Formats: sequence, structure tokens, C-alpha cells
Amino acid sequence: MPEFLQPWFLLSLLIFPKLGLLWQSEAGRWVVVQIAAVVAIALLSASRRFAKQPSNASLHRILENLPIMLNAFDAKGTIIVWNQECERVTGYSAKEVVGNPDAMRLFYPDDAYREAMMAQWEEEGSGQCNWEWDLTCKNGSVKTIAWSNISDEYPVPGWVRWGVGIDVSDRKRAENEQRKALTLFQRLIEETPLVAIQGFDQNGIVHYWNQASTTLYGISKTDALGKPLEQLFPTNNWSAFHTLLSQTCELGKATEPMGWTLTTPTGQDVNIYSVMVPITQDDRHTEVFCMDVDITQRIWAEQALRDSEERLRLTLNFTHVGSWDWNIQTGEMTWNDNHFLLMGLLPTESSVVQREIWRDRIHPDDQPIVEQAFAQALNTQTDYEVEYRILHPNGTLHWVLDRGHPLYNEQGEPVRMLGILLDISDRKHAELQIRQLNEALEQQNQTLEALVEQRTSELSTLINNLPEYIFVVERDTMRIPFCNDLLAKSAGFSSRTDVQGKTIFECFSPADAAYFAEQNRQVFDSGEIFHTQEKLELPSGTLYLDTYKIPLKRHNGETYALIGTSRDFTELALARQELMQQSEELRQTNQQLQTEVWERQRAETALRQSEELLRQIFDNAPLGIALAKISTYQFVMVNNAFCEMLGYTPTELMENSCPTISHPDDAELEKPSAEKMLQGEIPGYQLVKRYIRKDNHIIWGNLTTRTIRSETGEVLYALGMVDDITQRKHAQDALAKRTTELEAINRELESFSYSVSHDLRAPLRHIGGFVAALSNYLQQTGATSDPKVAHYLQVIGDSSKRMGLLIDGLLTLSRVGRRQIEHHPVNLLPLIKQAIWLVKSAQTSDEATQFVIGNLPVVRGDATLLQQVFSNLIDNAVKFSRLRRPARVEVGTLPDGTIYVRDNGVGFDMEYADQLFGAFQRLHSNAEYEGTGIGLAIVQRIIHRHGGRIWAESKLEQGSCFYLRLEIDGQEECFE
Amino acid sequence: MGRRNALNSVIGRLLLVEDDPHDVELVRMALEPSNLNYSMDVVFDGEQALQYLFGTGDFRVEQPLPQLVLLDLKLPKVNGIQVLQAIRTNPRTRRLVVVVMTSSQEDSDLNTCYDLGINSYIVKPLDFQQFLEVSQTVGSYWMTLNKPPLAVS
Repeated sequence: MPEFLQPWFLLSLLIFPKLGLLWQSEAGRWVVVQIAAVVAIALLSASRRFAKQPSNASLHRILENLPIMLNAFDAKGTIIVWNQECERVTGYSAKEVVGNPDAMRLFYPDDAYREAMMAQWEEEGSGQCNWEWDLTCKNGSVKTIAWSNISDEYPVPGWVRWGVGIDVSDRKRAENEQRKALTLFQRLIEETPLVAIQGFDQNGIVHYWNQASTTLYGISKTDALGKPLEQLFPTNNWSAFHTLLSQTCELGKATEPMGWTLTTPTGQDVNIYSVMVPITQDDRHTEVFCMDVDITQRIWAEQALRDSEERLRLTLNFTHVGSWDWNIQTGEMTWNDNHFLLMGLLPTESSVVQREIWRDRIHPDDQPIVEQAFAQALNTQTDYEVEYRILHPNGTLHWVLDRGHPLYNEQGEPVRMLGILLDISDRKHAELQIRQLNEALEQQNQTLEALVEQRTSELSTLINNLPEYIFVVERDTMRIPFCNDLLAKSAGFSSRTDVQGKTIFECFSPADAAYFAEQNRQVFDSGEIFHTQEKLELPSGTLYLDTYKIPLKRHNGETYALIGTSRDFTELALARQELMQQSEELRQTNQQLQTEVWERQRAETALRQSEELLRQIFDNAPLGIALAKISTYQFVMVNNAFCEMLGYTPTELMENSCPTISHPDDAELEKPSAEKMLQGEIPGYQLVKRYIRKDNHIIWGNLTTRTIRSETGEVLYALGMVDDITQRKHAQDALAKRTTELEAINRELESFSYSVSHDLRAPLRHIGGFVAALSNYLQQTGATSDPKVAHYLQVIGDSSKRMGLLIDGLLTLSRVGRRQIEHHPVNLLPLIKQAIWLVKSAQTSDEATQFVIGNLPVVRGDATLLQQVFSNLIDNAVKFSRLRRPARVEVGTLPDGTIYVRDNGVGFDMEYADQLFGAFQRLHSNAEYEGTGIGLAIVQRIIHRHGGRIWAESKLEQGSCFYLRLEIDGQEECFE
Repeated sequence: MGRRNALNSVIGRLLLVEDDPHDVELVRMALEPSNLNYSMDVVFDGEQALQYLFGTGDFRVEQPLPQLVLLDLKLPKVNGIQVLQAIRTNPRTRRLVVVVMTSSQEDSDLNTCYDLGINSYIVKPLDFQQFLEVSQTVGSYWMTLNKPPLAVS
């Protein structure tokens, strides 16, 4: 019989399934491991024993089926054995694990964990049991495996190390949960805020003290532990406690809950409700736990409630408030003493009465109201309240106020009603009195109002019928809260209601409103009465007003408005004005009269003087003056001059009329003007006419007439003033005649000039032409070789030329005289340059003259003629200085504006200076200096025609200087 | 030779209006020596001048218009101003070249002539030499150098 089949082994196999149970205890675990080891050894030794004829199949089957995990490692640490239990627990098959160098990595994927485990395994070595490792299974779950390394104790050849393991995951979990539950329970006990828990031994020494105990008793855990209760609560009597403690320990049963009152070390009374629970251990009860609940607050509350009820009861009694409690189901009522009294009954021993007793006491008239109130309260589930009368047995009536609150059961049916009853007779009486008083007051009030209304109406009537303007103006808004109709009308409104409530700005024109506002402000600001008399232009017309504005003040003296009255004194003012005006007119009339008297006196004097003066003027005037009647032209007044002029005496003239002395040939001329004057269309006329003297001589008179009218505007007289212009007339006629003659001469002259230019020049030209022709012809025939012939021809030619020049000069002179002079600004500089240029162009180089040009002005004149002047002067200067070396000609202006042309030529004798500017006057022979003698004549004529002046200064052989004065244009000068 | 012939060939006509036979002779003398290639017609008063230009009176046959009219102002019957007016108002003769040659230096004559649209105004120089030069210059200028406007038909 193989060794492993020995009975102990079989037994061990039998109990194998129970190994899990054995594992529960420390000792059991050891037993299991030992058994596993023994089984393994037995198997191995058996295997060794049957080495030669191994029964590998059997061995393997055993190992495979062994219900504990078994694995082994070779020297390299590679797993070489992995039994079926290992496969079952981990989910990894032997195929996956055996020979897999990374197998450990599969089981323990956390590197740190794995390495720590391996190290420990190495370090602790063999003989170690119960390493608990968390192995990760193939399905990812983690299982706790308890391993035992028994390699050294039970060496197996070929297995360097080996071990057995058991899956303790379930146990582990159970352990954890138990631990968690215990912890939770301990914390619950420790931290519960409601129950103070203490643990005692049999002698009352504290060995547990939770937080609630500390809170409740004010003793810390450390202070409490290990101390007897007597020491913790010295003022309390603990005998009862000890008795209870002993009983509890003895009986091993928890006590009934009971109340205690403890005085804490701080002297506070604590009411607790406590249960004492014995802790059973080894069938003995040596420990007790006390669980205390603080009921101090509740006791207080109960006490307070009791006190409150008592107080209410007392209050009700004291205040005569009746209270009742009606049990609706039984119909019984419980009353307090007051209620009885209020019912007019004496309180009985039993406070319970039937409801009828109460109902009978209600005044019959009020019973329906009361029943209705009850019904309504119950129907609507509201409180009941009603006032009614109680009829006392002694016949008196009392008013009560009854209030009740119904209570309902769970089905919503009314079961009870609690209520109170108040005697309100006093109040009712008071109400009655008040009502009566109110009525009386109301009546009085109405009377008063009527009175006020009446007075107001009267006042209003009065105010509106007053002839004064009355108004009130508020300070802040300038609003008119009140005024009378008169004021409203003055502002253009029909009634005061249109004005009241409006501001003055709305009622009056802006100017008027501003005027009033200014007045009002004065009143508001000063707080004093304002009085003025004013004239206003209002829509209703011009008003003269005597106005008072009186401030209306509050108690504090502040002006809040003003009341104004304006009395209309327009009529008075107008009357006064009229009176004053009349008085003024009277005064003025008086003054005027006075003035008139003076004026008249003065006028009379003046008139007299004036008449005298006029008479003298009239008589002595060098002008003939006559006054004739307009109707007949009969003279009524003539002066001395008039008489003398006509050779009549005044008397003779007075007998005559105007036509007598007028030349009949001028009558037609005078007629239209005379008639117009007669009609009054013209005030007079002027006319030059002839008069016939007494001696029949005819004289010329310049007549000026004027009509003289009456005060009514009627033309009465014709005044004639005649100036004897006979002399002047003759002179004028002579002049006119002369002018005509002169004009004719002039025309003749012009015609002559024209003729000269044509008629004289033509033959001259012909002479010149034919002489030239002749000379040509003679040259062809050789006749000119005779010097005499040549000389004669030359003389004829020169003479004709010279005559031509003379005629040209004469014509120029004549043209200058006739030419219309133009007056323009003329700059002399270019004129003189032109003249010089003309001269120079004709000169030969050896004759070259030096020209010096100084300042030259701009003058007013005719440029063409002035060109002629300077050409002639410069021509002359060059001509007469041509023998000088160097010849020198200067043109310039003196400081006084005189223009000069100076040469250093031959000059002339000043004795003949007066001949210088005469036509054809020459101071030098033609042989010496050629010329026509007309150049300077032309120059002088041009200068004179310009209104200028020309003169010359010279000395023989010392040059000449010609001076010119011309009108300078704006005094401007031109500088070279 | 060809050139000279061309110059000598008469290509234009000049009308001299001058009453004074001496002046006519002098103008002839002035213009003759020059190799001007134009002919000269002379009329002695304004009336003749108008007949010549407008083909009336003695000049029944209408002449082609001359290239240049040398006009004196002081003329018998119809004076130079009137002749000028007639020339300028007739559309046919409106553009005739008219040069006034006169002894008058009167401003009024000058202004009137220019107002009537003469082409030039020349005062006859007293000096015969100058007269020659002027006549020749005028002749050559207006007859050869000047490009006249096209005659209006």
C-alpha cells in the first residue's frame, strides 16, 4: 500500500474541503498550511520513491486536483508548476503560466507592488506563512491570495522554491465590512449629538464618555475617564444610582427609562431621561452603559404651558371674560365662573351645563341672529362672532359679544367649539352715546355750514358788488386763487371763475403781468403793505387805480400770498386831467393873447419902420420899380429910377398904364406870360423887352414881375422891376457881330491855310521837280558844265525848297493855333528821348553832341504838340552848338518844376530876346545857321496854348537856356 | 532775257487821279525810269475817275479794275473824298487798293481818309528827289509786292 494512501492522508484529504473553514482562525490557517505541506511532501516522497517507475499520471492528477493553489519555481525564477486550483482562481491556464518569464508581470501588473513582493519573498525566505498578496486575475478582478513558502522546510528536488496558496478574497471582504461596520457604530456612539453615553464599571468608574456627554455635562472626556461619578458631580446624591447599578449588573437587564436631575459642576440643573444597559461578557455583567437624553427644555416648556394656562384662566376670571367649551356632539357646555356671572347665574359646583340654559338667556329677538351666526361659522368653517342681548333672571338686559372657534375631527365634522363671552353693555352704551353725539354734531355742522354758505354768499355778493377790484395772489406761483368779477372783467374775462386758479401771466398781457409780478414780489419780499396809484391800459380800457396789496402771512411770519384791492378812480382822474388841461389851455390862451398883443405892438412898430425902409429902398433903388393894378395895368406906384429911365415924372406915369411905355413889337412876346401870371398859374416872369421913353427913344429893360395878392389870395397888383440894360444890350450886340465877323475871318483863314498848303506847295513842288528834271536834261546835253548854269539851277532849287519849308512852318503855326488841345498826363522823358534820337540820326559822328537828361516830370497836355516843342528846342540847341567841341545839350527840371533845355552854343544877345519868339524873326543869318525863323514861334504858341510860359536866357558865345513852365500832372516826377 | 521780258510784260494797271498836269508829268517822270511792269491810266477829275471805274460817261466800255488808284484829294467837280466814298460803298470796287497822294497835311483830311478805308496816305514831298523815291516805292509796293484781295464780281 503506497504510503500516501495511509489513513491520515486520506483523512486529510477528506477534511480538505473544510480547510476553508479552518482558515478562519490563525491556528486553523496554520493547520491548513501544515496539511498542505504534508500532502505535498508525501506526494513528492512518493514520487521519489517511485522514481524508477513513476506513476506520473497519478501524481499529476493528485497535484492537479489538490484544492489548494500550488506553484513552484525553477532556479531562474520561472514558474514550472501551476495546478488546477491556480488556474481556477486566477483564470490563467498552466499553459499560459508555466515557462512564461513574464508570468509574474501578469499577476502583479503594478511594477512597484510586484518588486516589493519579490524582494520580501527573497528576504523573508522560506518558512513564511500567510503572505497576503493581491493578485490580478485574467478577467481583471483582484483576488487576495495567502501564500506560504515552505521550500526550505520541505525541499523538493528540481523545485528551487515552491509554495501553496489559498484564495482568501471572500474572507478579506468580510473582514473589511465587519471592520467598517464597527467603526461606523463606534463613530455613531461617539458622535451622536442627542444621546449622552457613558460607560461604567461596577463601581461607577467612568471608562467611556462620548462627545454628547461632554456637551451635556460640561466635562471633557479626559477629565471624566477613570473617575467615579461622585467626583465628577460632587453635589449629587449617588446612592440611588449605585443601587440601580448593582441591580443591573446582577440581573443583566437594561433598566426602564427614568428621569434624573443632575447638577453639573457649573451648577446648572440638567434634567435627563436615562436608560442603563449592562454589557454581557463571559456571562458576567461587569460593565454598564448609561444613555442619557436631555429633557430640560421639554420640562421647561411643559411648565411654561401650565403656567400660561393658569395665567389665561386667571386673566379670564379677572377680566370678566366668560369662556365656554361646547361639545357639539353631546351638547354640553363647560363654562367658567365669569360665564355664569355674565348669564346672570351663580357659578355652580360643576362647570358643565346644557346649552339650553345659555340659549334661554338670549333675548328672543336676538336668538335667530345667534343661531344664524353659528350655522354660518360651521358651514363656512370660520370663526363665530355675534353680538346679542342677554336677559338676566332679574330682568335686566346686557349686551354681549360672543366669539367662538370650532374644532373639527378628521372627517371634517365639527366636534367642539371654544369661545369667549364679553359683556359689551358699556361699549354699546358708549356707542349709542357717540352716535347721539355725532348726530348732534352733524346737525350743528350742517347749521354751521349753512351759515358759512350764507355768509360766504353774502361776502361774495358784497365783494362782487364792490366797486373795487379784489384779488388774492399766491406767492410761489403768482396764481390768483380768488378774485371778484370786476377784476375778471378788467382782465377781459366774463366771470371770476375764468380767472380763479390761473396765474397772472395767463390772465394779463406779458407787460402788465410783469408789472404786477414786480409789485407782488415787493410785497412778498418785504412783507409790508404796498400802496400805489397807477394808470393801466387793460383790455377793458384805461384805468386809474388806487391799489393796496396786503401780505397774507402764516404763523411764522412767512408771507404766502397777498390780498389786493384796487379802487377805480378813473373818472376822478379824467375829470382832474380835463380840468388841468382846461386850465393849461386857458393859461396858454392867455399867454398867446399876451404874446399877440406884444407881437402886434412890435409888428406895428416894425411895420412903420419897415414901411419907411421900404419906401427909401423903393425910392432910391437903382432899379426901376413900378406897381400896377392887375385889371387895368394902371400904375399906382413908381420909383425914381423908373421915372428917370423913361423920362416921365411920377405924376405923368401914374396917369399912364404899362402898354403906353412898352414897345408894341414885344407885346406878343409878353402876352402869354402876362396872362399866366394873371391867372395865378405863375407868380411872375422875366422878360427882356423894349420900352419907349417919353422922348420916343427906345430903351432895353430886363423886366421881372411878381403878383401881389390880397389876404384872400386875390391877385391885386403886378409888381414890375426893370433893369435898364440898353448899354449892355448894345455891347452884346456889338460883341455878337464881332464874333460873327471873327468866325468868318477864321473860316477864311482856315480856307486860306488849306489853299496855301495845296495851292502854294504845288507850284513849289513843280519848280523843284522841273528844275531837277531840267538839271538832268542839261547834264545829258553837257550844258551844266557851265558853272553859271549849275549855280542858277542850284539857287532855283534851294529857293523853292526854302519856300516850301517856310510855307510848312507857317501852316504848322496856323494848325497849332487852331488845333483842339487835349489834356492828358504826358511823360516828357520818352518825348525828349525821341527828339534826341531824331537829331542824332541826322548827325555825322564828328558832330556828335553830348546829351544830359536830368529829372523830368509828367505834365498835362497834348503829347503831339509837346513832342513838337521839344523837337524844335533840341533841334535848335544842337544846331547852335554844333561848332562847340564838345557840344553839350542838357535837359532837366529845376527844383521849382521849371523845365529847361540848355546848350553851350553861340547864344544870343539878350537885347534882342523879345524878337526871339516872333515868326520869321531870326537872330542869325541863314548863311550861318539855316532855318525858317518859325520854330520858336511854334514853340511859344504851343506853350501858351497849354497855359504855360516860355522864356530864354543867354549871353553871346556862352550858350542859351530855354525855360518852360507847364502844368505838372499830380506833381509826379519821373526819374531816369 | 526771259526774266527781263517777264518783268517788262504789262501785268497790271495803275489809275492816277490828278488834276494838275504838272503833277501828272512829274509822276510819269518818277515812274518811267523804273522797270515797272505795269501801265498807268490818268484821269483829271473825280467825275472822270468814277466814270473810269464804273464804266459810265466817257468810259462806256467797262474797264477791268486797276490794281492801284493814286488819288489826289483836291479835285475839280467831284473831290477825292467823294470818289473814295463811291469806291468803298460799291461792292465791286469796295476792295480796290486806294493810295491818297496829296499836298494836304490837314488832320481832318487824314482822319476822314482813314475812316473811309484808304490803304495808304502820302503827303507829296516838296523835294523832287524825295518825290521820285516815294512815287517809285509806292508803285513797286502796291503793284508788285502787295497781294491784293480777289476782285469781287
